[in-house]
Amino acid sequence: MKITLSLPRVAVSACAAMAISLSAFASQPVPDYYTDYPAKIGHVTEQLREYMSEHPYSTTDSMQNHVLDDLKDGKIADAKQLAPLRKKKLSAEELYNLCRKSTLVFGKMEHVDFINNDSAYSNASAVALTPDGICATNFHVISDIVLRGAFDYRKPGDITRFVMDCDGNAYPMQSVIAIDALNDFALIKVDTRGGKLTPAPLNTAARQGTKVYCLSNPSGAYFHFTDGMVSNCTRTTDKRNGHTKYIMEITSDYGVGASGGPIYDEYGNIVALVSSTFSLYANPQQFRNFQMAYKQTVPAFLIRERFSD
Amino acid sequence: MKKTIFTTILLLALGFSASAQNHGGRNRQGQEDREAKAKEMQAKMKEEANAYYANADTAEYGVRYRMKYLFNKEQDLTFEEDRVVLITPKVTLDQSYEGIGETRWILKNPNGQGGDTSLAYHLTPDYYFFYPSSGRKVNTYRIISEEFKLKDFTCDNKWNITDEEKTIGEYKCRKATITKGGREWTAWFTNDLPHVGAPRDFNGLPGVVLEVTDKDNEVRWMFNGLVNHIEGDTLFIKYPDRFTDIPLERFPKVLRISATCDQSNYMQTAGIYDKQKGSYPLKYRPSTGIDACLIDNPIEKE
Repeated sequence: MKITLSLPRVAVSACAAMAISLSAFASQPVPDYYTDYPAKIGHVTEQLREYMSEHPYSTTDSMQNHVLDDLKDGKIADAKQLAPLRKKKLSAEELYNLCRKSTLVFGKMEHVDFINNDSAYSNASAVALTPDGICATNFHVISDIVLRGAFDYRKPGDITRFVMDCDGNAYPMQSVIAIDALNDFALIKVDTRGGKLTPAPLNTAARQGTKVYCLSNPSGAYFHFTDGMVSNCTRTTDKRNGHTKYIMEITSDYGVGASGGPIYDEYGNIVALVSSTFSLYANPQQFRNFQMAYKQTVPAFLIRERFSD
Repeated sequence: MKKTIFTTILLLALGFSASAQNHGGRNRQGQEDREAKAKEMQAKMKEEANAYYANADTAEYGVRYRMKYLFNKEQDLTFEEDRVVLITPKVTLDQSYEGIGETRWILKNPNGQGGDTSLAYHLTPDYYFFYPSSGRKVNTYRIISEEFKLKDFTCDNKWNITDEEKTIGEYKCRKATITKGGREWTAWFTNDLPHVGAPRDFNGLPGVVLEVTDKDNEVRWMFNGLVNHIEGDTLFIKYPDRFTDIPLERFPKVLRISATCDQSNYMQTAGIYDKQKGSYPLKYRPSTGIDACLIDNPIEKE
């Protein structure tokens, strides 16, 4: 059957339908779980500019100047400061709502020449461990601060580092308090600006098969939530120096920008931190025929060891 | 029609062939450019190395040792390194042999891969300069391009030279003992080789030390042959032109951080290599070495 409609009649009908649907949409409230994260990051710039005007010496340079004094070898704090282990199994939705509060965006504030001003941007992830501002991230996220501090090297325009919570509150980083370069984690302290962070508990016992969730900020996607399980737990000791590297592999997906992000168990306890990915190719010499990517994380027990009982 | 199709196919084939030739030409040009750039870089590095060694002393010869050191008793970890003492009448220098060994292996095996498997490959950038006429001793340590002067002192070892003798290699040696740094040491030195020389801080004997061991056999330097100049690799004794501005009290932590970050790209990404402009001749090689975090059995216990 041939459908023939006059154009004006079609246009009128379409316009009417669109108007009805738009008015219906306008009358519906936007669900509160749709978040404008880029706007929050924009707001961080304003918060940090204000903070830096009040604390002009709280800069990356200043962190670098005292980083060697700040770094502690053994325990960094009392374990009583850590949140108690959660024991109630949660649905994925409950877990997201709970753990989002502890998950953080990690970022930098740099001087941008073409706007002749300082601007904040995000580049990694972190997680709150104590209410007073101790957070965990990867060593490779803050390694430049440690190494530049150690070797007296300064990068112009590097203003400060910060973490941002899911509500858009920015907390400027104050110091690096512990590092483990081999196992790729760092413990940092941020200025809570009179408030308190919402810490997540550390679960030191997650074995192969444990269901896990990753909540992190892979490039351009803030508080991105994926699930999987612990697929492997390995350790390798370097016979020349006795150092042991521990890796927990998981199947939960993540990518660049997720570094330092927390991996949770079904109860909402941190079992690991995102660290890296390793891509497996059938033809590795030419990086062709991609087959799978191992997701390598830092087991939480390494972080828990830095708190005294 | 057939003629048109045939002509089109012919033209297309010619076009593809020309295009392929162009690609080949571009590839060849790219390869030549890369080779030219590599040569240019090598020449620049050689020039920088020549400038670096311009004011260096040239050793008459070197004594090579295999050093073994049980640095962590708890985990039974032994550090092993090839070291060399370079000797002139004016100055001696104890340093790692491994850079020299690797260079010589490459000279002998220009198309080979890897290196000399007889070497421990555990380069430690600690240097011990000794001036026999004054007894002055300067201990330095290089991390990336930062030269730390750790100690500048007069060596006054009080050796007890005994009559006991033994032959090491083809050299007749005498035994001497000393207690220092919380250990009892035995050294064997020879007068069959010219001048004086000794590893680490074991100077002060009237000859060239070929072997040093501590009583518990936890630290050892064992004679491993003589080293002479070869074409393309001169044995330089280079005293640092300048020392780092980094305060000395920060050295232990800087050492520990660099030891744990050494095998990764952290230094590169942090821009540490940019601190010194220009390319990096051999003197700036990153180093491995004993993990400074794990020593529970220091060589100098006191």
